[in-house]
Amino acid sequence: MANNIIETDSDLIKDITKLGGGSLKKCFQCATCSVVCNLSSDDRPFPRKEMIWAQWGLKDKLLSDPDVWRCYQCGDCSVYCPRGAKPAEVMGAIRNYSFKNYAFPKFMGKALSSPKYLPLLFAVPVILFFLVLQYMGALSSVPTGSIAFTRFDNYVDVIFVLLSVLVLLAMAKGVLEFWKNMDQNNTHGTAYGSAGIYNSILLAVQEVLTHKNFKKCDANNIRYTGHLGIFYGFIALFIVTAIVFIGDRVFHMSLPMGQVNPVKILANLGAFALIVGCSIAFYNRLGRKDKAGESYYYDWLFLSVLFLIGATGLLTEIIRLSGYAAAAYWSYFIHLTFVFFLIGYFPYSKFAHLIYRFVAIIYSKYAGMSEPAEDSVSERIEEKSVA
Amino acid sequence: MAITNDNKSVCIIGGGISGMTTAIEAAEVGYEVYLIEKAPSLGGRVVQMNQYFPKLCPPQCGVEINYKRIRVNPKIRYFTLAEVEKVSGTPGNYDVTIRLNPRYVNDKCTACNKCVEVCPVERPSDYNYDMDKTKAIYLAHEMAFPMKYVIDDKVCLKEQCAKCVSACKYDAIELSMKPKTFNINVGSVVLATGWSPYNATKIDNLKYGIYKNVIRNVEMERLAAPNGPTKGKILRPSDKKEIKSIAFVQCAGSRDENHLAYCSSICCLASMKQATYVRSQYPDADVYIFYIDIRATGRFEDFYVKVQADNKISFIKGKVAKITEDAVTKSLTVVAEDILSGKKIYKTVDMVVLATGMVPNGIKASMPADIVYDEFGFVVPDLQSPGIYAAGCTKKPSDVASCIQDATGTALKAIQIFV
Repeated sequence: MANNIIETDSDLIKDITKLGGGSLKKCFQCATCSVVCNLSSDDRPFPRKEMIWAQWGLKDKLLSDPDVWRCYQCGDCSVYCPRGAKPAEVMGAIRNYSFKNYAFPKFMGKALSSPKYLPLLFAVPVILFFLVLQYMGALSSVPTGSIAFTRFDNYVDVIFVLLSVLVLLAMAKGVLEFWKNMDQNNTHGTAYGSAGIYNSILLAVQEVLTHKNFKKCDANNIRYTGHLGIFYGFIALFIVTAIVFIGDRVFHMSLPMGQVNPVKILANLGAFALIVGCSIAFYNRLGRKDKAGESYYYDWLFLSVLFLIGATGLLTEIIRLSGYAAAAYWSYFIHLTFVFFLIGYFPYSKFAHLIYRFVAIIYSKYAGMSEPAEDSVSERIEEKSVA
Repeated sequence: MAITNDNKSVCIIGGGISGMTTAIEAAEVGYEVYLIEKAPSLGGRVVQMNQYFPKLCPPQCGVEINYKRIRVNPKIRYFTLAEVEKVSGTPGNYDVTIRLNPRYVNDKCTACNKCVEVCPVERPSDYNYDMDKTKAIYLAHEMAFPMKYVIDDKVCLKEQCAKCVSACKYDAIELSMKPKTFNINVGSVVLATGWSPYNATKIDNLKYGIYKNVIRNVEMERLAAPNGPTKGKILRPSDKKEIKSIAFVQCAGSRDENHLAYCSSICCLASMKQATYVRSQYPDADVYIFYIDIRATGRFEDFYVKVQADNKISFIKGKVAKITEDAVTKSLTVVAEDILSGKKIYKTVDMVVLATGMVPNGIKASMPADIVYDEFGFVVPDLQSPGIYAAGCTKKPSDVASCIQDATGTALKAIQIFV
């Protein structure tokens, strides 16, 4: 067929190598990885095919592959890989490559891909917040009276609402492009569309909330525990933020809340889960490299920012309760800087995996792609052999 | 190389096909040789084979000719149950310390088998890779050379029992035999210590040693051999039933940095050869060969093409990485990704053969010059230091024909320093 010309991208290998997939050339396509992976489906096993796509520079294939996002990088494949090609790390690098590729505007993707831009990225919120403080006249003297962060609300809320809108638009653009690519580059089977989009979303939400596929990882199951802590900690904090924002703006609720307020309890629990989850993740990445594999800039940056948000948030609360006004306000300043970083750079950092993975799961449900089985692999094999 | 004395003799450590060939070739051109073998019989791994590839002929005729050439040649002195403890000295003048372990059976043995009939103790047969048993007094194999029985002193009850002593009409059994140590002086030394099959229990996902019907290629040779534990009928180990299907798992622990990082070069041909064993015994059986790459180079390609043409033999590109067992039937399901279709493939079969590779045995004796090994334990031929040479699988994994060629060349090297 004349229109069946395969487009290759010779820079792809260099890019993926830089983003943490340096071992990809070692792969000799034995497919041990696809078999030992508990998440790999029978009809579309991974990561063997992704390894050769990466080696061959088939950028379009990789960028439109939902399976890249069905991998939770547990490392089972890397443990059994006979060549040290570390498919788990290559899959992670392909995801990093996707963040960069789907970034809008493009320079933001680049800015988040290398530590050399890190000072610049932090300079943005720091300068912005300094300007606010300067404008408020709060830079020269610490505000008197009881410590209340609500006094900055008018400014902080404007900044963050505006930021969120921009980020959502950028994210939406990336996601739409991603969906379009998936839809164009994957063969539509008979089950395509039969689940319906709403049902697909519902199924995806269910899968994400239960972490049911993450749980199937063998080699690195401690990661599941860490991720669960981070995930639910984050969700709790997100809910708290939403409640406080709406409560403050619409219902003029009195802030800060007391420590027995259910919302406050949820906030503290969330922060605690986030910090514990991040600590497990740090321990895993630093102390269990043989199982967890190497970690790269995207991993460290995201994990550090999450941890620091939790830590500075909790610290700010403690200082506020102990009444040191200046320290409390500066601590809040630092906390907000990290929050700005997380939200503002959301679509370009590893944080975006939340969205891309979610969308990829929705697509795979919508397109009727086969699922990894509910039960253990050995049970699945028995089933097959009976059939 | 100037030689300091006129000792023109060669000591060959290892009496397998490479060692025997080196010994015969050196002796037949006029040099004295000492052939040292630690097992009770000469022959090594080849006598455990059913057939050679690609001609599918049994090894017996070639081995028998070699035995005869050794027997008739007064220049060859061979020692079985003998281990080299130490080699010292310089090229042209090596002192070799040999420990001769007791056979407990002397030269009067006529191999009448009366001792075996009365012996009450059993031991797993190493010749059959532990798939059956022999008595504590046994013949290494039916072609053993020397044709003398031997007692396994790790299990024999010795004087407490001594039933064999009274059963032997020829006074051939001496339970009081002790190990002996002696020295020989030689001009050059050849290492031909050969190989062992990889310990497949280390490949945890392939379940060797856990599922009974998962065997290695070396065991398949014994199952197919007329002098093997099943008298040449390929029956599955769990229930001794005939098989309807079989899967060969290529590169089982080979080309794998977690196990043997190298290719043993013979396993592809060995599996194809074994596929022909199955096909000739079971005309309706299905054979699946799962591979990463088929390595059938040179003249072996013809054999590959021939096996490929058999429509009951399927070649599937994709390595088996998971095997499960049906608890009731003991049948096995192998899982691979069929790379050409990009889908996983599940095959339920009666038996699985792991194509495991060769591990070099290396040298346990203390040696004068530092022998250079590669990262896998094979001896790197060191051309700069004459006097000690290596032959066959001591240097690299090889098929029998290559070993014989290499051993002949090694014989030439070993005698070259004398001329």
